Amino acid sequence: MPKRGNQPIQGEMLQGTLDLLILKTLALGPAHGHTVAYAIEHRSEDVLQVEHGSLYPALHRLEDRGWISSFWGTSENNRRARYYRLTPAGRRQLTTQTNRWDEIVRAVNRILRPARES
Amino acid sequence: MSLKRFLHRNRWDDERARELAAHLQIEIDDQVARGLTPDAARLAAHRKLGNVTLVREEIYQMNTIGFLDSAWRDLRYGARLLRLNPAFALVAILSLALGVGANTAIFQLLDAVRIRTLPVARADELVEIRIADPIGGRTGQFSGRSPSLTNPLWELVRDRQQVFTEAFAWHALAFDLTTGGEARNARGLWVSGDFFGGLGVPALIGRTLTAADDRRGCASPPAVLGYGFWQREYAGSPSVLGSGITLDGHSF
Repeated sequence: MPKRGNQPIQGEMLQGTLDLLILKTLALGPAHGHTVAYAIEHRSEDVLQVEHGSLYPALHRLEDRGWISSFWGTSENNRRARYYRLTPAGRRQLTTQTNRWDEIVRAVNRILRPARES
Repeated sequence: MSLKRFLHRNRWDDERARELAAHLQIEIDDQVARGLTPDAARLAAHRKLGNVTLVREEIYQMNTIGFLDSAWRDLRYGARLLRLNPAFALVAILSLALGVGANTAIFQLLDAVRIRTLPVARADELVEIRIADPIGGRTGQFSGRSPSLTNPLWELVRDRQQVFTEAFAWHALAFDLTTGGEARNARGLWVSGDFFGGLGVPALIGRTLTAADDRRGCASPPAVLGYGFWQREYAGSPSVLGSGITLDGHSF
């Protein structure tokens, strides 16, 4: 649901970006899948639309790698929901991936705007 | 991807199904709170999440060891097809069995001939001395296909050779065990005195032959029994030591 001037980015997000965004969202505290999806959309000012269908496989993948852990809890409106929280390994991974992301952005920018760098 | 996950993949799938159902509920609640009717909210929530089964399948695929899962399916499919076509199954199984059997037989032969060495101390140092293809005449003794050394020839080799640490001679034949009546044969070897020493084969009980036994005109020469013969004829009894045996009418 795009509003204001921000056009949502259509199609697949950059490979690995969703994992990074999930980790970052969970760094703020435990959350269930629904919250994670909306938090990402909200904090990107609706530019990034999380496909809910790809969110759960991503969560599963992260849990499989031991970067997040899960437990059943009760949501804010009294529904049972599966909550995820960042593990220490996940926190380390978040730092690594954030650095990596910065590198990529700098590298791409060097190519796109060669004048401004150097 | 862990084996534990693989073994519990069905439980995990249930878990994910419950999680996705919870997600839908929360989304519906949200939409209702924004003023949609429950039905419209349900539709919107489903549209947003997409195909739940597809999501579950994607996660299931992550949990499964792909080739194990598909191998098991292939196996069951194969078994079903074979049951539907028993004649083909029979031929296939028979040809496989024959193939495996033939291969096993060939391997056993190869194992006996090439791989397994003789059960002696230094099998790789054994050399057989034979008479070279004779030119213009025949030398040796011809009871078999190839010429064997006669006793004088053997004694020459034994006394003159400077190549080997030990030299010994043998001759294989069947002995008659009886002292009278119907003949009862046992396979045996005539061997020279250095036979056991040269091969490095010790006796289990008693002693083996030595060079001292190997002389002309000994009245009652000793004999060494093979393990199989000892078990078969004497039930492995140690009292066999010192008792005599008659071979071809000679007592040993």
